[in-house]
Amino acid sequence: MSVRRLILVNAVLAFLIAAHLYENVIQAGHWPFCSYPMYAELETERSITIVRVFGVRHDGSETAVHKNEFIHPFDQARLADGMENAHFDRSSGVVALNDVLERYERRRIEREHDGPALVRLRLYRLTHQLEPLAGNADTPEKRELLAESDPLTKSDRFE
Amino acid sequence: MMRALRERWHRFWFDAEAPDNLGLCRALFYGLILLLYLPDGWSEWSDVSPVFWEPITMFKWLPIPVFSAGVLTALGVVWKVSLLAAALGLFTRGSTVVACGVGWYLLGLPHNFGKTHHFDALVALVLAVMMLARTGDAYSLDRRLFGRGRPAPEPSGEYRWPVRATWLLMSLVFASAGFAKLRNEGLNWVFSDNMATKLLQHGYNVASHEPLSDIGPWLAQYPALCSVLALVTVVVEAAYPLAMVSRRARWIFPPAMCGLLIGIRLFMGPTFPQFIICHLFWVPWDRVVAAVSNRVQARMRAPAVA
Repeated sequence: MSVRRLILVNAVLAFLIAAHLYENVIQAGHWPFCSYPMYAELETERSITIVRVFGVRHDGSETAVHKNEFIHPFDQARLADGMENAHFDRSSGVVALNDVLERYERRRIEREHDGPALVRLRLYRLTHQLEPLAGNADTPEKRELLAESDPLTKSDRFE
Repeated sequence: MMRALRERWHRFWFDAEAPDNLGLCRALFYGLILLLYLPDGWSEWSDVSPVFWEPITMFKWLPIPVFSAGVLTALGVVWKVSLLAAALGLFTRGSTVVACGVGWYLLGLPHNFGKTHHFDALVALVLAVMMLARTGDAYSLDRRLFGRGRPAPEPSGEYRWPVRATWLLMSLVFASAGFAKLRNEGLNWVFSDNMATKLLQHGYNVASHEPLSDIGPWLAQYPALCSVLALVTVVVEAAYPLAMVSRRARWIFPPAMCGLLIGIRLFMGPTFPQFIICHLFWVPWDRVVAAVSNRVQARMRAPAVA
């Protein structure tokens, strides 16, 4: 190997090590570098609070929008965080829900998922007391409505 | 002392090696990443409301826009073609540069919306390492099409450091995860109900994907067993870098880490196929190919002897 290549490769190696050490020291993440704190926090609470999107059918009944294919290109964790930030930090929960609903219906009509037709989305904060085998996963103790999308009008329904 | 260290460092990274192992790693890495992302598209991100926009550093510092659906579709095609070309070793230098450049954009784009996941960060870094490496000198179409008549490449450190740099990246990632747990919570992370609580919480579908089984909440009924699982997790993560310097550790920590990643998918939900694919760099593929071809040749000779 030439001296120039050796210097270049050593510089790359030093950079990779330094970048990861830096992220660990400041305990932050600058993608693709990160301190990987996933699951590092201690969980002692016997309850869990989550933000969830529910759909409202034409007859007014609610259904969980729980599959990733319903909320594509988001996944559940990304959407929950995005919704939380939009609602609490930017007071834009309704705009965010409208955006997700519009895409949900468009993709449903294009047969990209098999979810039910929806006219509205609602954003809830759910609190569960942890029970053995997560037996109450579908029945939270507390259910707080945070935001509701505008209803889809007929012309919005892409039909 | 310093001189001895420097020599050791140099030997570790740059001892001469034949290009075969790196060529095989290249073919497998790009091929598997292509298969993993083949069904994916990025065009929908063009249409997501700006209300979700929280740019990661790369998009904040560089004036990188979210392109239109058409451009994102085209970029997706370009990326997949570059992955295929890199896997085949066709125009390897150019295809690895395109795979890295376009890959960083496409892989980074979703992290600007809502949450920054890190399951693909390692792939982005390995793409960068492979872009800088001379990966096309063996098991490549470049060698077949354009290398005729040229002598076979001499063993060189050029074929050793990229594989080891990938080991380094994996070691940094997993050791960081292990130390984050110990730094934040110490041994409480292991010897408390922490792991049992985590497993139970994931029964409420809090992760990016639903767990593939109900084993997590079931395991949570046995806190002592969960503490053993927590201990194994921390040990495997924190001690993972040993695999860089010990052949024996290489048989333990990378396979154990793959087991943990599969366990996370089964018990908790999050999915890490990218990390598992990167583990292919731990396998000495040149020796695997030699062993398999020796065995095949021995089998072919056997009937004649009989």
